[in-house]
Amino acid sequence: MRDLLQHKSRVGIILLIILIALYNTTPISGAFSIIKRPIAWAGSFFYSAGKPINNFVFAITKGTDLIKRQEQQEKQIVSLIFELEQIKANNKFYGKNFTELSNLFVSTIIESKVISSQFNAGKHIILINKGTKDGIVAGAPVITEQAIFVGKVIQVDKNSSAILLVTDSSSAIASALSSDMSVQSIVRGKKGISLDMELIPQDADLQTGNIVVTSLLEENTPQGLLIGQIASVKYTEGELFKTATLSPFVSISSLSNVGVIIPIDLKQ
Amino acid sequence: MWFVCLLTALLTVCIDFFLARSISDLYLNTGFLIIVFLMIHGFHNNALFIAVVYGILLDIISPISPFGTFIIVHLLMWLILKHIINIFTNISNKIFILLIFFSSGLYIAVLNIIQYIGINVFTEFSTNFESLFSFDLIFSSAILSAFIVFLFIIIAHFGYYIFSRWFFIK
Repeated sequence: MRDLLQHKSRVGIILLIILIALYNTTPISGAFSIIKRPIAWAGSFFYSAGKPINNFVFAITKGTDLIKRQEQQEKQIVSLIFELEQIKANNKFYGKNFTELSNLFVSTIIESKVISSQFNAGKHIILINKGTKDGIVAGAPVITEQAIFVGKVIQVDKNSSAILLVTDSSSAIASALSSDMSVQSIVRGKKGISLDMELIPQDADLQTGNIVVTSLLEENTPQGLLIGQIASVKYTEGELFKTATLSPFVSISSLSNVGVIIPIDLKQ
Repeated sequence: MWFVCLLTALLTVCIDFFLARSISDLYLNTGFLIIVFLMIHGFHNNALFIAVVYGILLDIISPISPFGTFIIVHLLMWLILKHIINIFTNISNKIFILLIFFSSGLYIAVLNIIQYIGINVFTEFSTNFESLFSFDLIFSSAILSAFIVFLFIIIAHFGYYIFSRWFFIK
């Protein structure tokens, strides 16, 4: 016993190795979700507390830019109002809440709170406070209340889930133009901040400002969810396809509540 | 003391993993800084305890990374610090801040590399090195750590000055 106490550091390290092995090979990991819940609860408090600090830092560092941008944006508002009317006309989900959207999609939408957003191991991920206990399954699409596609659930625990954002470089979504659903393409994330639209047929009529939505070809995802707006179109002579850059409709920092769509065939 | 260490580890996880991430993409390493601080002052066992608990908590809440990644990183970090902690003592504040800058950068880089290996070898997910390893992010995060320590030193000096003036000089 004395020897054991003298070498408590070594014993501790051996115990940790055993813990890691057991966690990864046996169902013991389920027991850890009990610890995860209070941490997630405390964490969500800290995450919410960070938002005003973020706003404060933003105001200090970019205050002058904000004033210039405000002037520019006031001019843009008029043209945006016109575009909004077009979006309303094209987007049948506009102005609906999660309950109304779930009726439209004939699916269950689980409303969740974002508890952390992170650039983790090269992936742009958000964590939400709902997990398998609430019926969330891997592969389910995640949206905002404005029916903007946020990403897909990639990992689920008992009380929380990880969502890979649509803007992450490893994300690829089947998409279409809202004005012409026959123009199919792939939207890939770009470094967590913007989106690239690829494999667009050469003859497709693409204009800056066009709205891109999810396609029927995207697995487990309703058709017509908003992805982004075309910012620029690139076409090189001799290439088979066009590419376009999209501006996402939503930034990660503004996400606080999201809805996870559970299609009937994905339900546990 | 152990309970205080446990609470400290929990608080640093909340700050580094939740609070900092809602403010920016930068890595905030208050956990690492506290471990360095404790080791400089000879509290090696407390530092080890915080490193392990910090690692376990990050492993529990961190998505994608296989369980054990953060425990191993922080154990490794503690072992390295144990052998090199002497270089952090008896030096000027400027060099100390410079050391914090380099060690924070190194800590984040090692953390990312081990995460990269862990994810690609032990999980169903894959990540590419380019998206994982951002020099800009590591550099900015190391500057942030150095700035926090700089602020801490200023506050400590100012606090010491006020304290000694009020209580010891009439």
